[in-house]
Amino acid sequence: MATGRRSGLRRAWRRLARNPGALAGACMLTLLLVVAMLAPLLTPYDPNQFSVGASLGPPGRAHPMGTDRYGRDMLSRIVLGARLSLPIGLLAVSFALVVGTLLGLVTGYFGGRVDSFGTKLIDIMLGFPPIMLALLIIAILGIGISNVILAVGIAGIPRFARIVRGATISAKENVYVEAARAMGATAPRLLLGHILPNVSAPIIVLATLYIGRAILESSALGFLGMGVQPPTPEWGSMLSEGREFMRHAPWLMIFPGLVLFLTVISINLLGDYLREILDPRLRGT
Amino acid sequence: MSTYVIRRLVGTVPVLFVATTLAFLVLQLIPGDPVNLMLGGVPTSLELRENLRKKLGLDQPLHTQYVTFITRAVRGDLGISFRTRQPVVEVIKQQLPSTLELAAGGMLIGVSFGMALGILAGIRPNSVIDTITMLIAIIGISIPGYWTAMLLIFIFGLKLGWVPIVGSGLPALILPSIVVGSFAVGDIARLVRSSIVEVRNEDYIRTARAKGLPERRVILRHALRNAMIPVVTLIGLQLGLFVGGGVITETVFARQGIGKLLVDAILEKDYPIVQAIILMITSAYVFANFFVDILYSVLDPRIRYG
Repeated sequence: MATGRRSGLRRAWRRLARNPGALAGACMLTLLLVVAMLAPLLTPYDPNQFSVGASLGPPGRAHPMGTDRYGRDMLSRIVLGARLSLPIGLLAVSFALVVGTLLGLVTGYFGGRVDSFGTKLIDIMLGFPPIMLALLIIAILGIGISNVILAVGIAGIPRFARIVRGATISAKENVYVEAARAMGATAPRLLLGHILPNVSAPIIVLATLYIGRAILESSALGFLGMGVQPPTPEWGSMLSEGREFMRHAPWLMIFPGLVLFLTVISINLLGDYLREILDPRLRGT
Repeated sequence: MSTYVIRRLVGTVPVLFVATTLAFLVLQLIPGDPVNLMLGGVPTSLELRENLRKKLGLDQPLHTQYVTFITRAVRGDLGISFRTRQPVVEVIKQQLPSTLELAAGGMLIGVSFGMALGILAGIRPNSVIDTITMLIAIIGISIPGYWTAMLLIFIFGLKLGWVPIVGSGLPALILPSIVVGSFAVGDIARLVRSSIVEVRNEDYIRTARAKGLPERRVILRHALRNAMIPVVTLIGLQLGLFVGGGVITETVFARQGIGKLLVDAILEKDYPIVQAIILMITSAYVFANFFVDILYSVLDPRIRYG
């Protein structure tokens, strides 16, 4: 068993090495995660300390990414921002994944009225443009980080629910499900113990691809002033600050945007690769 | 055909119902008293507040308020803005043309570039142009739209001075349209490519070639026509992106429009405006998808009987 797993890993590694995009994505993402984890040790300055450099100082040896209007070190702020922007995206996806998967499993498994109600609910949610749904939730709950996570998460629920529902409908016809049912397994046991493991591939693929989107959407809400409030560094709100000084200090908007873009593209390159190896049905979609 | 249209039309009712209910509930769910919000924190006598409450119908039971809200909405009365005290419908009317211009410009750019790239990549899979297209596609879905907007403003507006970055008219529409269009280019290109790759080996394509038709005609008349079906659906789904893209793009370009109005209204807690825009954008989205479905069934008659 152990040898089997090891050779499987080796095979996965070999496939990854053949796909330069995915390899670059994996490397960038690993680097980013390490940076985010070690952020307090890596930041050359206190990210919230005023006047560690000149106000709006250009990039140079002391401050590789320049300084903002209060003379705070941009590199330190971007590094610390990773600790906020990444978890916000991950939490939003986790919320969408858990709720969407449960909704999909239940509607797909029970069928009948439960299914027609669930499908209606999914269709109605998909009927809203995603950013509208997120803004609507923010309008009701008010601005703040946790509300951004909830807003982006809720907007993602129908996408997970739809895919899981489809996969559940075909998985429940399998003989092993029949066998488990004949042995007296209860519905929750059947769903979580037998069906869920068999529908997990498309869920993993969608989750990976959705993380990038969730990071973009939550940073967009941050940019609009609805998420993290200053002085806490978050990439979206930093970009909004950078916009004010675009003419005289373009580095304030170039660097946070670049890091955000590189993060999302790494995740998407990796997601594309996962889609290829895990779920041939999703290919070309 | 007409049964299909009616069935689809009936299908839009629950979505519109939920949208109206949600829009109504916005004012009920927010923490705090709407009368306070309307007065903007100015101290006033109790009598004045009660009068205002009565005037707004907030003293009525919830279901009566709901019925009033819907009846008024159907008649085109969406209340008064808390901030400007203008009728909400008037405020929206002023902002609408600018948003429609932007959505049309974005759609033109997104669809034309997306289709062109997709066709080029699809007729030569695994070629250099295919790799470039796929790269553009993945960059398109990974780049923050508001960052693209800022880079374009910085490069073409501030540094090169080629296009105005503020104002109205066609030149000022170029950069915002590119941004809104860029949200869709990648998705459309990917889908057109895979649809063309799929139909390339169909019998009717081989027949068209065997008849000696020039390659251009084979691709444009035979392959593309059949490859268009999923693309039309995608463009329909993207309408939301064109509308949603406006929210961000209008803010970055400091353009007038519904998107900017919505963002400002949420930040300023001007809830009647928020309610009206939610209602309007969702209805527009629902009807756009409805028309796409109808178009879809015209392109592929099998759908109607499915």
